[in-house]
Amino acid sequence: MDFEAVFRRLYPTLFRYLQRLTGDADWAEDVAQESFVRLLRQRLPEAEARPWLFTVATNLVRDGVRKTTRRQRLLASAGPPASSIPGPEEERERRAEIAAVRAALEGLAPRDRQMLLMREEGFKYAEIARATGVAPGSVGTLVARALRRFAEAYRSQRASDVRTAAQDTAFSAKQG
Amino acid sequence: MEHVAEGTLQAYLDGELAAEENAAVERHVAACVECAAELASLRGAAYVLATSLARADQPLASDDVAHAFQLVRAHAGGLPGSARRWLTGAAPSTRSALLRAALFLLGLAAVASAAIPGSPVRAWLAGAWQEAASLFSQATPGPRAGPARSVGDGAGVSVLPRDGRVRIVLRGPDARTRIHVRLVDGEAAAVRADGGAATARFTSGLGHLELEGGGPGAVRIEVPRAAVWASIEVDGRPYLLKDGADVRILAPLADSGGTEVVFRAGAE
Repeated sequence: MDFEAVFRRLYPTLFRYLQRLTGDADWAEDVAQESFVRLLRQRLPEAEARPWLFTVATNLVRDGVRKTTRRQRLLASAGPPASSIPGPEEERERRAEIAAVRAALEGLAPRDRQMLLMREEGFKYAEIARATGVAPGSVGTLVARALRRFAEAYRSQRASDVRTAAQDTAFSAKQG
Repeated sequence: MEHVAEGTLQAYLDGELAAEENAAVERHVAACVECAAELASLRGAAYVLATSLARADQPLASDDVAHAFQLVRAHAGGLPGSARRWLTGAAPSTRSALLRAALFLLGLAAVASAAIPGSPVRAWLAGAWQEAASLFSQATPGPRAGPARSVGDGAGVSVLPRDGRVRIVLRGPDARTRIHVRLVDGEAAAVRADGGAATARFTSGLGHLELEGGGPGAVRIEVPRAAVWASIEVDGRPYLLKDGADVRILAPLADSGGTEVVFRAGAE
């Protein structure tokens, strides 16, 4: 197994999972890198490496492992192309979207959050069961309930955003 | 009509059901309005999760991936040689293939010598075959657990390194147990437990040897000089690391001198 090829295949998906899990891109990068450093010691076949990486990374997050000095992301040096810089309205919408997703995810129990996010990365129920320590037969029920809770919390948060935006608009109109 | 359980509907959506179960769910949902509504609701919730997560994601640039790989590569400087070889894509050791080839040649020679009754070559080959077969059985991958081979009043097991790498792990030894380590010229790593330590449970596989539990006593470990990488760990803590010719002592020594170093299992 070519480590670099494995890294290039699995790093983006592990980073995405961790970013969703933590809500912190810098932390996600640190943990993803630390997980790959640990994988180097294991020399696992690729099929085993993927669930192993996600389990180790989840444990690192749970244990609060992070680098003491935060690394500047490459994005900072380059910056986005001018055409992709969002306007104030788009930026506000994006922040509201991120806040709603975070609130909905954080309203879930850590185990349920992990289950939903692993499912999003295409893990099978048997792998999710092994990683979270639940019985394989109960994964479907737990996923269904967590999905409903997430969707309900997310919709409620977004509805509240719309009400707030409407009030802001009305207030601005009065001021004008 | 008995409804389909929520977990089964979710498993159906996630493609987790066997073909028969899948068909049964489809038949039921086609005839049951309530289950059809449940299924639509679950499908809607899954859509909300997938699309909202995607909208909130911070995209990862290919430069970020390349940079992350460089950082992992830099970290690997402190890792064992075999890990570094994996990182750099160097070919693994061909020891196992060589061993198989040696057995094959011995087999051919044995067949040839069978034609000469009473040949001294035949007797030598029989001994050589036994020795090689014993090495080969130790080289079979996969952990095996069980009673260790008795050696005098103690117990001992030896294993061959895997790709030049061997890891010896002690779990839950008695804190008073003394661990004697020495480098040896042979190919195999060996662990022998004496006194109360001989009650430890041994597990071994190619490149891996583990002792669990055991009373107070002595554990004698032989690390082959030829091993590219070797480690001795006690309850998850590294005590000794051999990386190429470099041997690092990572826990306080209880004693040293002559040809061995001695640790206490419960080192502070």
